[in-house]
Amino acid sequence: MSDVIAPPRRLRRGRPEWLRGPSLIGVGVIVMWVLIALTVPLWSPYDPLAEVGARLQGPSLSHLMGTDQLGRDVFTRTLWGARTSLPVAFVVIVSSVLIGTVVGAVAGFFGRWVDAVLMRLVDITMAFPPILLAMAITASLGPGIRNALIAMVLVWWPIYARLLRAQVIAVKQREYVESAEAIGVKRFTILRRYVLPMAYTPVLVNATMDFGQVVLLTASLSFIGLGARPPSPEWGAMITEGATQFYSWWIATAPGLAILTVVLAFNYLGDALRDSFDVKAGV
Amino acid sequence: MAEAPPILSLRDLRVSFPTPAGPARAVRGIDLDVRAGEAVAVVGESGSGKSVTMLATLGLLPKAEVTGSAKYGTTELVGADVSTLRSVRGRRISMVFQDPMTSLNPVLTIGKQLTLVMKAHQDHLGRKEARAKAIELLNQVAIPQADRRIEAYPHELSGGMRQRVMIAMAIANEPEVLIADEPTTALDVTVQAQIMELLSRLREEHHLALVLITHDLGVVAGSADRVAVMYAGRMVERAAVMDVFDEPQHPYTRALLECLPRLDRRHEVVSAIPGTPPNPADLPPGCPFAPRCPQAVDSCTTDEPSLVPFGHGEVACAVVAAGAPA
Repeated sequence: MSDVIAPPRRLRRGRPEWLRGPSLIGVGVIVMWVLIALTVPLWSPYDPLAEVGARLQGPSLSHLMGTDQLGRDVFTRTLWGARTSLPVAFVVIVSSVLIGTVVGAVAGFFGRWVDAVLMRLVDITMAFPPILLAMAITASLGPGIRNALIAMVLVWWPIYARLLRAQVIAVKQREYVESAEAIGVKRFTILRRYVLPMAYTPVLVNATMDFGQVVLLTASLSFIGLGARPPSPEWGAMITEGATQFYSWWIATAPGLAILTVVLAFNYLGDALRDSFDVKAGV
Repeated sequence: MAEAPPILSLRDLRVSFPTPAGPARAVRGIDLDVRAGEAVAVVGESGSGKSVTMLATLGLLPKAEVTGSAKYGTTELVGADVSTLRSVRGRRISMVFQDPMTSLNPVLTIGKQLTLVMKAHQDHLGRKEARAKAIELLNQVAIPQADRRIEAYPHELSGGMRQRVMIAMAIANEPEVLIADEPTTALDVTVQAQIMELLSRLREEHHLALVLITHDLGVVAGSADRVAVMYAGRMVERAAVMDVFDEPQHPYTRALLECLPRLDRRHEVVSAIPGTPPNPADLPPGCPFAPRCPQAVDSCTTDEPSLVPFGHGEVACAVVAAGAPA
């Protein structure tokens, strides 16, 4: 009887390469914030909008991050803030990726004047600093979280359009695309099934990295009064409130830490994804 | 002898690419007829314009300037619109590329790719039907366990297998002409023979016309009826395959044959052709082969010869046509 060598069941087992070290912590933090955002109404220690104690109290066991100038619990408000920041950032990223994908794919694949027109549009948008353009658009639409969201999408999509266009141009010159064309595969099928799957990775990696940036931008717009309006518990708006209460440092610190952890977590994850998929640094 | 009208007919086909140094004239007036069921080999070294000729025929060179005529039946392909070209590509004239390693979509199973190719010309193909046809196609190209292999991704197949898949995709829509652009160059020798056998068999079974682009005269000998030899964008000799091997006329064809190692001449040193082909953006006046030609005379560097009937075929060489001693 000879020994039978068992074939390897899978080439790689266990955790994927990009889920190690800092990115694992990043994913943990992201999961934690998502869970908080989803479930906080069920176990919230206090009502985020109600006066629940004395004003401007420092951190204590009953109020972990103290209370603000209206006697609301800062810790509770910070947890509820995730219910604004995360969905807003998610919608902004997903919409931008969708718009950017369509524009970038069409421009890169069909080229010529379509490409010229769309890319000039992208150039014009990207000529402005994103925060400035987002401020201008929000201000003209009127302050509010919904308009801030629209403004951020308008500012953000060109990044993905340009990124994907470059990828599409590179991939469409591959031999298998030419070969598919030579045997008559429809152009739209070629774009969808042959080009996009090979061009998409950098967009996904960049979208992950940008998530934190959008959280920051949302907070920035709210900070200067163009995004979420008081009394809604939004991190940027809360920092504004804290900024006027210089000696009550905890009011601004709690939402600040929240922003810090979210942005850092997405940066770690994005970095790891980028290294793992061997994508060159963004535009 | 009365011959059927050609299904693919090229007349004075010219292709040039704009470059900063002026137009690179890759193909400079090619005439070629391909009839149903016949195998034509287009032979020449790298850069002689053989691939470009065929790519231009199918309108696959968006940046090139193509003039002359390339007709499928009565349909003119040069300058045709995209929808005309697309109705011909794959359905009437199909193509197999050189490198099977890079010519398949890495993210789709081969069954899915075959289906997409079939759907390109047969809109109402159902899922089950497409699957059955895909298996049948893989059987035709002699891929064992076809019903399991259609679930395989290209990276799971060997080079020879992938080339079979490429061929299956090329014949999926039952074309009349199959252009094979160096179909065996990227494969090792035993696999080369199998692929050539497969192409010959399919040609008989489907009454396919085969245009074989190659630089390998060994491949030509066993599988082509007629041979066209190209040099620097022109045809220099055209004849039946046996005539080319028995009595090569053009000095270039002779030089090419000298480059082949031969079993019947054991102690000979295999020779190479001295020099390199001319730059298509900067062609010398006269015969483009003259600088490398052992038989060149003065007039070769001033007048470019055209293809004239000679012997059993046609040749473009002033010295040979004038009956000068070889």
